[in-house]
Amino acid sequence: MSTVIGGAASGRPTGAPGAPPPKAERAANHLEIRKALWLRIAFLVFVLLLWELLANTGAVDARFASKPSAIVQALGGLAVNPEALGAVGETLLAFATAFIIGTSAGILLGVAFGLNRLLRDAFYPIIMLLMVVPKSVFLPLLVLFFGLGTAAGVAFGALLAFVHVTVNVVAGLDLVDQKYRDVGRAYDAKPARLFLDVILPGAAPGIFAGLWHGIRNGFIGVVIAQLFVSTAGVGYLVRIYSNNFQIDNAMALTLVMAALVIVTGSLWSRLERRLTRWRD
Amino acid sequence: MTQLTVENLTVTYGANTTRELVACENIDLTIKEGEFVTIIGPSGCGKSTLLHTMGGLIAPTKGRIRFDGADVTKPNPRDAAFVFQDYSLFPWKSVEENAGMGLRFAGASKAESIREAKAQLEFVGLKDFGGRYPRELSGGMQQRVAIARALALQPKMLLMDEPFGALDEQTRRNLGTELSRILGEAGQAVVMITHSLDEAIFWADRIVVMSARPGRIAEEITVSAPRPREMEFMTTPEFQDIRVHLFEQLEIHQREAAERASAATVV
Repeated sequence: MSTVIGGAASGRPTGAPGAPPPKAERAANHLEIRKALWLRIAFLVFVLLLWELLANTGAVDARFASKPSAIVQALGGLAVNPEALGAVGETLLAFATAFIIGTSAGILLGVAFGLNRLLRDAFYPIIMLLMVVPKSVFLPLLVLFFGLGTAAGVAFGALLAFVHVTVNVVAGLDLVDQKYRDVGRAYDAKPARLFLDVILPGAAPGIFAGLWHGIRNGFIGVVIAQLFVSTAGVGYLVRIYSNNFQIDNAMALTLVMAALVIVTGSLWSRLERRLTRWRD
Repeated sequence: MTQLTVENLTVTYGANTTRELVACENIDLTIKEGEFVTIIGPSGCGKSTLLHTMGGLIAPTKGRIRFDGADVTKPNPRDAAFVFQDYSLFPWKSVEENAGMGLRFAGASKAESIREAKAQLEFVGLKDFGGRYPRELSGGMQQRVAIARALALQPKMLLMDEPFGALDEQTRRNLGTELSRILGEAGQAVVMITHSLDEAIFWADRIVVMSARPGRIAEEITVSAPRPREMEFMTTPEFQDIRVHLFEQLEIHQREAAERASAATVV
């Protein structure tokens, strides 16, 4: 499950991008990208056909591995299944809550660390420590605090988003070139003006990367919690389906979740490009 | 009339540490209203430090800076506005917003800063580029935007830190003659750091020659030809004589700096 989500996200570069290529080069790039796209589609079709074939000839046991045609059928069934639809809704709501809590806390703290040396020296090491520790070790604790319902998933997603957003926002603020701050100083800028017109837009690439990590990790956190501890949402339903050998349904639901993340990701990068037009 | 005075200025970086570095020492200098002064000297002689201290960006270790008689303790862009070598335009703001940004920082409203920015962009010949972003402009044009940003405050003085350092020779010349008109009309006093002998002479009412670190003022040369000057000034005997003299002086200071550096490494 989490590999699907990770794969969707790693296809998109985060962090600060380099200089954009000139127009002619871009057109050539476009053709290359097109070719690569067709190659990828051909490969996926080949894998799906092979899978179907192996399942039909009995070389692979369809009871455990399912097969593409059965998954498509299951998708149709899930689309009218109130239990599944409810679970998707629960997961999306949990994700949205986790994202908002984790990301806003992360941005606030990241900006505070970026602006105040003392706060940063005192507390940033703690965030870095959290960054290194596998955060799943907190899951049992969160279940103790929040119970087995949606709240544990929200808390875990918010925690993951918070840590990643904070680290990225701090890095973004560090990237603001000293020469821009110097201009502000030379023109006697008030701190608020300097923040709004120089530091915030200068740190925008880092902040956007941070928000993307917030989306990604918020989702991962919610789904992992649902998969392993919660009794709510899509993750929980996948667990139930798997345990009951309804592999078609489990696979179909996995596919739905992957699609959700991919769509969110591409919507996000579109928005980001629009908001940072000055870069290309 | 005297506008800015530098009195017995010494600037030391990392004072009282093992890495103490005297950037410039015992400097006395006055700038008169409307005067164009160029500062030239070997690399690392403390030219930039001197300029930044004059504008209040660096605090003197010893001595004082006064502008119109009052002590300079922090930058006041309405007195002296900076133009930096690397233009330092904000890539996320349009040309117009950039040109108005100095005013905006100094407390003007958005509307007022844009109005003044438009006027200054027209003045520096970039009227039609207000809506573009800096990356769409050539280096020479970007530097003109930076100059418009400074002029928008109607400062009494411009402090220019190698404003043409990042430009190619041809652009420098073209921009140079154009700016000589612009700055002539604007009437500000200008203090400009340069590495180029030609620039130092072409622009200046007075050339300040600095020695190698710790930077001291080695010589002040007056250029008597009236400003603004045309390109042809570069072919006159006055220009050539000063150029030869400056060349020799800088050679001497440069060599001193190199000798001191190699002596330091032996120790």
